[in-house]
Amino acid sequence: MIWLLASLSLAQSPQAAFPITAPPMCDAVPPELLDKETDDLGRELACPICSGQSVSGSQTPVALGMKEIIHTGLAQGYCPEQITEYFISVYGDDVVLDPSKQAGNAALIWMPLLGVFAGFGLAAFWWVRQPKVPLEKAEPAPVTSPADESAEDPYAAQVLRELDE
Amino acid sequence: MSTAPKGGPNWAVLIGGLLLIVPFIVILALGFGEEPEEVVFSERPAPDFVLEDLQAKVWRLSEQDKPVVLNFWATWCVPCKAEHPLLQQAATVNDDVQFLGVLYGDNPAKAEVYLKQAGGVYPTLLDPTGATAAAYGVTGVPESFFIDASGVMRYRHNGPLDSDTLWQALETIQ
Repeated sequence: MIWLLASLSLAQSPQAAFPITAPPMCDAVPPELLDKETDDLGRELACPICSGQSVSGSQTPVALGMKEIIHTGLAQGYCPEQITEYFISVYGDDVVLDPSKQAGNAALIWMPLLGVFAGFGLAAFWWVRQPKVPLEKAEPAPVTSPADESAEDPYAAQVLRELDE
Repeated sequence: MSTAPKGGPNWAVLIGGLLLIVPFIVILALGFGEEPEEVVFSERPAPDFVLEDLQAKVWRLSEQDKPVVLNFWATWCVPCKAEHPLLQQAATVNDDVQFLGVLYGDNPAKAEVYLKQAGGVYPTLLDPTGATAAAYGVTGVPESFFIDASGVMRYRHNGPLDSDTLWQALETIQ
């Protein structure tokens, strides 16, 4: 218990070092909102050693440590983006649970959909460009006999010969 | 029987298709060239910390005037125990390097008992909130960080250290 109290006082000490060395770019989150905002940002970050769990949803030592950094960072006025960038720098891109926030991933998600729409657009363009012939004025398709076709197609001619035999 | 229409390629469709497909392939190719979990963590300033050791002495990284080997470990971690004698030996031989253990997700009382039995020639720091481990990007134990005298991280090793790796890593910070 004494150790716990001592460690808590050390963790909350203003002299404790914070890993982000850049100056804070946002307003400090008020104490009454700190837990909620810590939880919100923790839900956007993946626990690096868990399978599909967010930082907020995990009780591993790493996730608890990340929560502590988020909590301290928000209280000191660091923006959620600054804190997220720091975790990306130490744990890699995988630490962000929602990959659509990254430009490359967003392109991979949206480009196939864009391709489908573009395909429909091209098909519509092609259909519009087709010459419109009224049905009543349309010329009937020429009726060709097998003999006519065989005159043009050597394969059809061979089939006809073999049928005759 | 009808024959296939003859003529050159439909350039409009071809170019339109290429305009759609090529950027997609380029983005995929760029993505394949990257490892999402790969983090270049060496050659950057080591995060500063203020931690107490098992004897309640406060240690601050930025106050160290010599290279530091920071080893995250736990008593429940078998590989940590396997590398423990090697680290003890290296710390004994290298007076010009400050070895520091950091207890990770463990009970300090258990660490004290273990160090009394196995020997502990360098301090073990307590990271009760886990914030220091998270700041260093630790994913498990053992994990070791080699920091030169100017506070720049020169080498990071995930997993138990062997003799060759340890000596080579020490050369990068001495």
